Amino acid sequence: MPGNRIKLKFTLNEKDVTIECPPGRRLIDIIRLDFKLTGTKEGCGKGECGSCVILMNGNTVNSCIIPAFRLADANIVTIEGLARVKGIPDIRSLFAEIQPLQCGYCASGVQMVLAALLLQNPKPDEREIREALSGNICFCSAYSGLLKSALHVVKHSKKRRYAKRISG
Amino acid sequence: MWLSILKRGDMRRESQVKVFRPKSLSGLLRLYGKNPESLIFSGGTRIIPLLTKGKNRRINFPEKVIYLGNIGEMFRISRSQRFLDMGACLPISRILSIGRHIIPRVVYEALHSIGNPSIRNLATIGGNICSPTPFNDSLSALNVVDARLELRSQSGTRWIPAGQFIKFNPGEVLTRIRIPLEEWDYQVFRKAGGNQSPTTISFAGTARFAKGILESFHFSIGGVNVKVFRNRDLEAQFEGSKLPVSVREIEAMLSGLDENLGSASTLPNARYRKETALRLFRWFIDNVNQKSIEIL
Ligand SMILES: Cc1cc2nc3c(=O)[nH]c(=O)nc-3n(C[C@H](O)[C@H](O)[C@H](O)COP(=O)(O)OP(=O)(O)OC[C@H]3O[C@@H](n4cnc5c(N)ncnc54)[C@H](O)[C@@H]3O)c2cc1C
Repeated sequence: MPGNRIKLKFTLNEKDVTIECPPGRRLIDIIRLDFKLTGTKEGCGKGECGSCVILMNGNTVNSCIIPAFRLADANIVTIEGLARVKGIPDIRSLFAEIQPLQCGYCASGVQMVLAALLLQNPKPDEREIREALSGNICFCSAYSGLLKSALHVVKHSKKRRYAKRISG
Repeated sequence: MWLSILKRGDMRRESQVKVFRPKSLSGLLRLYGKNPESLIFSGGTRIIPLLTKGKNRRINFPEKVIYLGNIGEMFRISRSQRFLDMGACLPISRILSIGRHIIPRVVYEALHSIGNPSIRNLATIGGNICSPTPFNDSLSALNVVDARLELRSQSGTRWIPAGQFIKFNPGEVLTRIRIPLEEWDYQVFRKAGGNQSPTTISFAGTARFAKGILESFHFSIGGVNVKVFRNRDLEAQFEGSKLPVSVREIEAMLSGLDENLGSASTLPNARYRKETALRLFRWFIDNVNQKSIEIL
């Protein structure tokens, strides 16, 4: 079986895509190197830091520990496609209003987690937010700012969702 | 959109991996029977960090991999009056979403302690059970509620207790977990040490009271040795005790546990593990006493 490759169809940021690649290629490499969607960051490469979190079929997953063969028919959303997902506010601009982070490397992972949380639970309390973010490491340790902006996102998300619906 | 990903140079470097993706249990058993050297891949959260190597962080899969994620039968959950049956491929987050009121609390807490929400979306219960210490935090809780594991191969099906160390026969996989649904007055799971820390100790305990007496008392400890600890004789010594359990009885129990844990752990930091286990037991029995005072 020299140089085995598989052909896969999946949805990436609401576009149907087809790829052919080795079955063990990591999803993060497919996203960043093959599709040039570099908003998703790589940190530890072991599923521990949460920098590479994306949405797979509506759930947050660490893209560094997903091999290509799991992608068949999956629905993948990266930070670049987040604004297009129905039912969630513009998390990126809400985040920018507070500017909680220092280097920002963890931001996309954090925003993906908040998006998934808001999809499942439109009014999470602080405990639920902390629990949701428990897999996201901030490399600058700016956790209090992070929590502050997460609370800001949640507080304003309803209004923004409404505004988005009217304007959209 | 069509994208051809690999350049020729990369191709030569890629391992020659063949991934099988069976769609039925019978297909899986046939395939695994023919290729027993294959790596079974469920959620991959244990396997991938182990296999990811090198500057490019490539996953170095062995030649043959069997992916369980398309086998519908292994994702089923069913509940009868006496049991909760869970397919081995159910992601932990899916099991948790059934809710605390259906899953025994001690099992719920153990599953909830695993990793973080994103890991639990991928990690499966079967993968957890089949992982070695300290990557199998669910096992002490499953052991304490007398869960049983269904193992299947082409040559048949067998059931083993969750606490028994699994020695798979060639071509055999874990397919189902059966949890008896019993009422407990107190059930608790506690983990000392962080996620995946090599010295994590997990403790699971359940107790039932009747007329001022400790009617039923179970506990199981993970991480003290390669096999999860449970000793029914020790449990039986406590059963029938008047509540709250007296200091004298607790001391006797602690020394019994001390003896039973022995010094035979093959894991590093054996002394720390044993001391932590004893402390967790002490904490458990204090809480049983406290709870019994509240209830009785
Ligand atoms: C960041 C992080 C944090 C973690 N935290 C914890 C933690 O707190 N507690 C904990 O216990 N673990 C933890 N883990 C380890 C791991 O996530 C869990 O053990 C998980 O449940 C493994 O399940 P899986 O489906 O991903 O297994 P896989 O990685 O797919 O498989 C694990 C092993 O089981 C075998 N296997 C899987 N399914 C079957 C089956 N049905 N039949 C036979 N063999 C099978 C595989 O061949 C492999 O050897 C963590 C991992 C990461 C990356």
